[in-house]
Amino acid sequence: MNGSRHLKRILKISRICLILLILASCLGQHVTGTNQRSLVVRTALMEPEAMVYARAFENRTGIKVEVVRQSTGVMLSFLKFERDNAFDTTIDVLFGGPADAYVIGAREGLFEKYMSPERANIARDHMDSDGYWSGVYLGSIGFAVNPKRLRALGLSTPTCWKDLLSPELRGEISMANPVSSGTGYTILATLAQMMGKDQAIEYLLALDSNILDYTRSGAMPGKLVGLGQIAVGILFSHDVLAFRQQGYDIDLVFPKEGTGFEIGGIAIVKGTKKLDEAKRFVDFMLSAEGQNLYAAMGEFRLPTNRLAAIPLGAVPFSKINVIEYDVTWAAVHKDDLLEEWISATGAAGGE
Amino acid sequence: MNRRFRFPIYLKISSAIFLVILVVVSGMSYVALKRTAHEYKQQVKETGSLIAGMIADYSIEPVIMDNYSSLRPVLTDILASNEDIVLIEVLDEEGVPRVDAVWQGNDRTKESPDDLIGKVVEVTSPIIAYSRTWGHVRVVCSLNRFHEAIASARLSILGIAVVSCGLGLLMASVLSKAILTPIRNLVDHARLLSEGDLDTPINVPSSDEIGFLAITLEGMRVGLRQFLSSVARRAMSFEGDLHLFGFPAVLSLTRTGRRTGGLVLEKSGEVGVVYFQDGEVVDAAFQDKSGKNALYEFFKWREGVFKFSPSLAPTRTTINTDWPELILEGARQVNDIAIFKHVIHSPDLVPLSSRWNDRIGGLLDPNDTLEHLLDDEEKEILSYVDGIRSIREISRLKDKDVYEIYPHIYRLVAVGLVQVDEYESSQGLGKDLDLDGDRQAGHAIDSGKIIQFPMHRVGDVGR
Repeated sequence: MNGSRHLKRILKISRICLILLILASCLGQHVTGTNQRSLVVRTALMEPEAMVYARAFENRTGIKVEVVRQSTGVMLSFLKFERDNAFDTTIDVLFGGPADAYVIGAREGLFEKYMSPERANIARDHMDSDGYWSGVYLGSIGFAVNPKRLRALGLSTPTCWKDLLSPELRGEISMANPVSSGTGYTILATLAQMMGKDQAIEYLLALDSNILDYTRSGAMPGKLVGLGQIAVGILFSHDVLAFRQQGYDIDLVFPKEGTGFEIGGIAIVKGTKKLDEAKRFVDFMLSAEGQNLYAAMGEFRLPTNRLAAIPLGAVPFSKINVIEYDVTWAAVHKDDLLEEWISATGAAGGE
Repeated sequence: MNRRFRFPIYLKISSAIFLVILVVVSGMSYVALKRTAHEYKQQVKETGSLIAGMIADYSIEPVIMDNYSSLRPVLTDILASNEDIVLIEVLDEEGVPRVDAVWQGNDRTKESPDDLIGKVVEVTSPIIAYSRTWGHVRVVCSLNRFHEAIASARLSILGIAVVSCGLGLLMASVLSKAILTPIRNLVDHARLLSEGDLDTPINVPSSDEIGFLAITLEGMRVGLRQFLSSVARRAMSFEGDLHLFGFPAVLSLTRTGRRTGGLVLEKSGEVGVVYFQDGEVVDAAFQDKSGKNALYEFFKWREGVFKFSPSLAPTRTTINTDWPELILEGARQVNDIAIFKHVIHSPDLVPLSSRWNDRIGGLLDPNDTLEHLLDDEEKEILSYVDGIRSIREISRLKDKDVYEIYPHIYRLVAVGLVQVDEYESSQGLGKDLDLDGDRQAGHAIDSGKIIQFPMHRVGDVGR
């Protein structure tokens, strides 16, 4: 009799505990689900660099930022995936990466319209007139070359796109995969705009035999050059300079025939529950204060805000042969160009 | 019945079988489980290594580029698709964890490393590229599902063991009962035999060794019965040795059986006959003597054999004396210490008066008319018989030599007023038969000596 009473008491207590636990877990989910979540920024910038901007923004505003690095193509695919499956978006801001992806995103209706007051200091060409995206930096395509490796191979420094087709450079070149990487696609679109679509594909097919690897991220070829794994990498010049700054033995070469460039974009993801915080982040990155960080942190991106300082050592477009790169054309022809490139080279991409 | 409780043998056999099954089943399952556990762990390890290897390959670029965060969604996806993995961690070349994905149900912070020992399998795969190790992928796989499976397997095995043990116990008890029931029957029959019951047939229906044993036992019972019948018949036909029985006792027995016929006595070629008519002595003949004179001669015989023959019917009546008087008178004729000693084996024996012994009351005239036949000395000695004093003590009281007392005691015994016997000679009989009812006899036994006149033993045989 005594035992059964004891058992009943234990059951009663454990039932109360269970209810408390369930309540606590619901409360916990609710808290993390709303107030405690950081502003999620997906960036095509290299993570350590993006973290600097995020921390600076945190210090200034007190808004926590979670940075996830992803290649531009992947970011866009992910947004589309979320939208197509009617998921609540888990990303608040897209930051960095060539603007053709942002043009596509705007057309697909993936972005929130936001006319930041900072846009007043940004050239019209460097942002979406409807306010779906804005440019945060500019960067031109260049070659990263490893002089030591070139010397070892008995080769001179390539100075033009044609030089890269030299059979001596077989397996000595790397570029980002145009499918996954915005950098990769900028190279493809640049060549297409310079040479015409067919010649560009033909050129890339010829280049393919010299390519050691199509990397997932745009800056990776620069690192490989720096590590001495390959002789030449095709990537954005500011990334080349950044590696050089880090101490890698790298030279930056701009192709004589001319080169394309990117407008690094920023956009607020449609449906974000952190719209205000997202706007503040966009404002910050468009502001001279935000873009001054490029110079302050030893980066070589060219700021879009005319009030921001141009980093020392960065190469302004005025000093190089930059083509009239049409971002919209690049965006419109992206699918076709990628398809043709894939079918020509047989390479696939994506992370 | 304060018998100590004993386990029935079939329970012992069953328990032994139970234990054997238990040991075998648990031993086999232990080995099987151990092997399974090893193989499962190995498999988990291989799966973990495979996943870690894949992640390591995938991680090369992000790790080289310091883009660890780009791995998080991938790690989370892998984790979500594999329940066994509780943690995936990518560490940089210095071994510092840079990105991880933790299974929601397993919060690492809540468990100390000691708690995780035995619960997880950990595999590490290096991230090697361009002849350099850039970091490591650590995959921690949970063994929870395995432990659950093992626990359920253990439960099943336990269930099977219990069921098989139960079945074993049942079978063993059925089998042992099948074997032991006939044995128990046999034991019961043997007990009946030992208790003297020779009438119950031993019938154990079994065609095996037990049946054979039963048949043998039945043969023994029949043999015993025949033997005892022949003994009884001999007792009935009444023949024997005077040395063993004593003449007064033989006469008493013949009388008790209310026989008619001749009691033939023989000693060293000399033959005499005592004739009985319905148990009463009516005639006697020895050499040229007849009647009482012939009869009294037989009292003096130290030895000889006797045989009662019903065919020797009396033809005349030469003796017409009352039984006690006849016996007393006969006994008074004896003056041979050897004959006395046949009855009184030791002066230390305690005579017991039949006046308070119901058992032999039937032999004598129930009315206390015997005493008037006794002479003064016999009466005096009878008065000393109290069941406590020995013959020697009586002789001291009488201030006489002990052998002078013997004739009187002998007479009193012959006429049935007093009994003397050695305790040992009647111990078994006394214990088994007399303890319950006969307080006096019990007293006599307690005093260490006595009991009955030898004729009782002869009489018992026929009962």
